[in-house]
Amino acid sequence: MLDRRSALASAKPYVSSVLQIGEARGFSLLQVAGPAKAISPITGKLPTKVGTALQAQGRTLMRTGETQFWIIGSENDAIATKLDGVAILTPLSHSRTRIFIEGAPARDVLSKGLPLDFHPTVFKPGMFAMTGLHHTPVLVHCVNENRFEIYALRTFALSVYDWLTDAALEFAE
Amino acid sequence: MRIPCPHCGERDVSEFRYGGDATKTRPKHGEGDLKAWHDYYFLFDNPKGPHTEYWQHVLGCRHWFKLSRNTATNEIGEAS
Ligand SMILES: [Zn+2]
Repeated sequence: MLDRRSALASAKPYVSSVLQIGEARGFSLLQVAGPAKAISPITGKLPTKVGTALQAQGRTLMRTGETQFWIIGSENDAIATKLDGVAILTPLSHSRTRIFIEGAPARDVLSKGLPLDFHPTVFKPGMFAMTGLHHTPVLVHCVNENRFEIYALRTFALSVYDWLTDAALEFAE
Repeated sequence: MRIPCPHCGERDVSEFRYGGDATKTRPKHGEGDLKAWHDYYFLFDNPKGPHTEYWQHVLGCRHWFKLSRNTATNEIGEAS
């Protein structure tokens, strides 16, 4: 089997006792466009509003457009075969690199470059935002209070990682 | 400056791009002489005050919409 190559293979490891930054590998990402009532019998209930992800059948479901969704599952998820013919499918697993940042200072680091309110009472676990970092689009998902996962375009992943680790230098060892 | 995306809600201006004057009417295809097309493409008003513009949430949901903005004060009105 072909190995999936990391876009961050040459990235410099970030070392800190209070903050972890790295790649969260092993996922599949499917973009699905179509009416929710045709898709949800297969995926489970879809979010009705943008900004809050739902969990169903071990997957994370996000509404990214009026009739467009992101389905994030395990690396070998076969949901696409079940949705074939039901909606318009765009496999994005290979086009995104998922970068995590976790630890007490995570919100402070993200606030340095993302135009979002990262106060814990505003950007809460389960919420996500499609936004931009250094003029490149990213999707930021608050997984829990102090952990965030950033879906960056693969070709910009190293740049996003470098930006993050640079912004987090004050917490590095 | 904060802009209300009809899809995502109020977000920072850095996520958007300006897409031009939304009050102009494009000549119909195959109609209008060269001057009508020239004027549509190359002549712009430069209003001071309330204005209706196209904007795109380019780093967000990529939705295009119309926004009313006061060009003198940057006061933001309705988005649709
Ligand atoms: Zn939007």
